[in-house]
Amino acid sequence: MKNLRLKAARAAKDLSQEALANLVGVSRQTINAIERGDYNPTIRLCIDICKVLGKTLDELFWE
Amino acid sequence: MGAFIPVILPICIGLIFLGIAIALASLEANRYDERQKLVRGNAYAAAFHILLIYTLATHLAEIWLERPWCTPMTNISLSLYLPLGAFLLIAVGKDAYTRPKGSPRRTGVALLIAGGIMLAYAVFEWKRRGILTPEGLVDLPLHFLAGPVFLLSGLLQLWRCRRAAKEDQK
Repeated sequence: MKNLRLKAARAAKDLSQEALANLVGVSRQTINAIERGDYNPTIRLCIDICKVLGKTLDELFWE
Repeated sequence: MGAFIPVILPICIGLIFLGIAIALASLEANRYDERQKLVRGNAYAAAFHILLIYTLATHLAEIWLERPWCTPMTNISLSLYLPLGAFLLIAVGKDAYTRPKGSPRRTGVALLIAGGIMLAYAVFEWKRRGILTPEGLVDLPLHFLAGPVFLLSGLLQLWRCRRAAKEDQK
């Protein structure tokens, strides 16, 4: 299932996938895979993404 | 002192290899992100299974033919490059070959050049000495297998880069 909330939060911060990937220390393809719903990130990566985007885990990852 | 050398030498060599393994493991852990490590783990597993299947197939062929079907060097090349090819194709195909801060395009070009050179050398060797020994054993040059493996991986890597660039444009 696509994670459109993550995509929207990233776009709201005016960050590209590459920029977000650099900020959380992963590859661009990993961010792309999370947004497409092809990869379930670990809680550690979810927290890192939430911190960078200024959102809570619930807002980005809870269904 | 000389009497202890047969005991000390293997221990020293073992410690050196252990040190190298630990250094490589820590380097590996810091280089790839979590998704890439997962993909690489699956790729290593696939490579291991291919090696097992190849070993089984070779032994069955030897039992059936009642002699080896290829030279020892060809056997070594196949058992090296079949798993390596599987690993490279899976890792490159799922964007887990180049570390997050690396350059996938540069990796692709390097693989392509290495593969091209190996394949050209393999064709030269193949024309020079043929593919069968006088005893009828298959004798593939080492680069005959390595060339296509690296070439395919390079092409796949560059194709992935192109696709990523298109995704970025969207």
